[in-house]
Amino acid sequence: MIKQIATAVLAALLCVACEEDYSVDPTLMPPVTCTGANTLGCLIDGWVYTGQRFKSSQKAYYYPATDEDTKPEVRVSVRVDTDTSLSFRIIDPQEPSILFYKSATDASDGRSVYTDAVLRSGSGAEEALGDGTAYITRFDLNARIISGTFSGGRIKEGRFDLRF
Amino acid sequence: MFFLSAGAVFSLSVHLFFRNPITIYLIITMKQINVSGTSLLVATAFLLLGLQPIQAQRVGGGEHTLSLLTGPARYTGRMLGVAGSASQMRKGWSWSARYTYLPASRHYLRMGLGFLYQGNRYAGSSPQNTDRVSIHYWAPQVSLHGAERLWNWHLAIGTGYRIHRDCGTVYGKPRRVSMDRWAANVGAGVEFRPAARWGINLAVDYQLAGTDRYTVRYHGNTWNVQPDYPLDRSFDLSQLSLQAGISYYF
Repeated sequence: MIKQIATAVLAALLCVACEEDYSVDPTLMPPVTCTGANTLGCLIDGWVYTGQRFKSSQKAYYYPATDEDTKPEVRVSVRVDTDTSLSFRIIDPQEPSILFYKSATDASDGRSVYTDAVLRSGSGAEEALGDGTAYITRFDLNARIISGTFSGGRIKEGRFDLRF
Repeated sequence: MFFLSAGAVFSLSVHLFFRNPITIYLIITMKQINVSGTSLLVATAFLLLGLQPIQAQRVGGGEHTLSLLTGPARYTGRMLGVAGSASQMRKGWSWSARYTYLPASRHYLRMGLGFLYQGNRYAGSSPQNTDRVSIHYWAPQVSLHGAERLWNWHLAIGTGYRIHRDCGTVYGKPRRVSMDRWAANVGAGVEFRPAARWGINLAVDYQLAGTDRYTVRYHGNTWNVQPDYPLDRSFDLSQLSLQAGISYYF
């Protein structure tokens, strides 16, 4: 609970300092990349939402597992409009494993669950978007980059390439 | 080269100013929409060549011409604001209606005044997106005509307003882009006139415009996009068309 409050406060503070990048057309989806381009795009009810127009120093936050009962997670919070933000949590993100080096039981296919997907407006109203699946293509703790695609519930064609 | 062009344009402009204020107005407008120095030089030279023998040579009544033309077009500038692939949209179609008044003259060269409407259409699609770009341009123009018994030629230059729209879709949802701007046009054409009242035309027109931003309406929001932000570099929106059609004289 404390983590969630801290994340919300941090995201709110960052959004206050958001600078609008007029070179970005927010109606066009970003390409699928895995270079840490700090891009996010998805369809919500068929409409394009993207996160490049509003710059902020950080759009994703990594929380390692604190004990055996918890799993590491990445929280994404991206401003998609002047007063609207999209946020969700990716639980236990893992890159796809190369089976040659790992046993089949430990192998990861890069699939993770994302949950608590919410579209939050400036007035405080929240729209739940439903849970879904994220396919992680890169999760680099050294470069602090997470990339992948996601869909589920009201969200389709999602892609992100974020630094955390 | 730039200084040579700029100097030549300046000296020609000063010369023309005392002969035809419309000319200097056109040149200033072309400069405002970021037309290059070489283009200005060519445009100025067109008019300078034609104006001198025309002055004070009008006699009797004039001649009115109405022309309708259509033909292929090519978008030679940067295709801003499109959702799909810009490269597949460069080829399009154009059509135009032109009115010209030609004062009567005993001489080979005649100066005309008129009005041009030109429309252009470009379209493209990808699995997720579609684009339908339509451009409408209205401009008064001055023209220089050379007339033989059967064959005529003309050079024209004008400046007017251009409405640029892209009514397309992104993942099936409507998206509207607009970038309306002042623009200029230069053109040339030949005409075969087998009958007193009718002629057959072939014309080449080049439309010049520039912008540093566009507006996109999508999902109830309106966004201003400056592709080169934070700089304010202007992008070329020019297009070229080759049209054929008919003229009616009255």
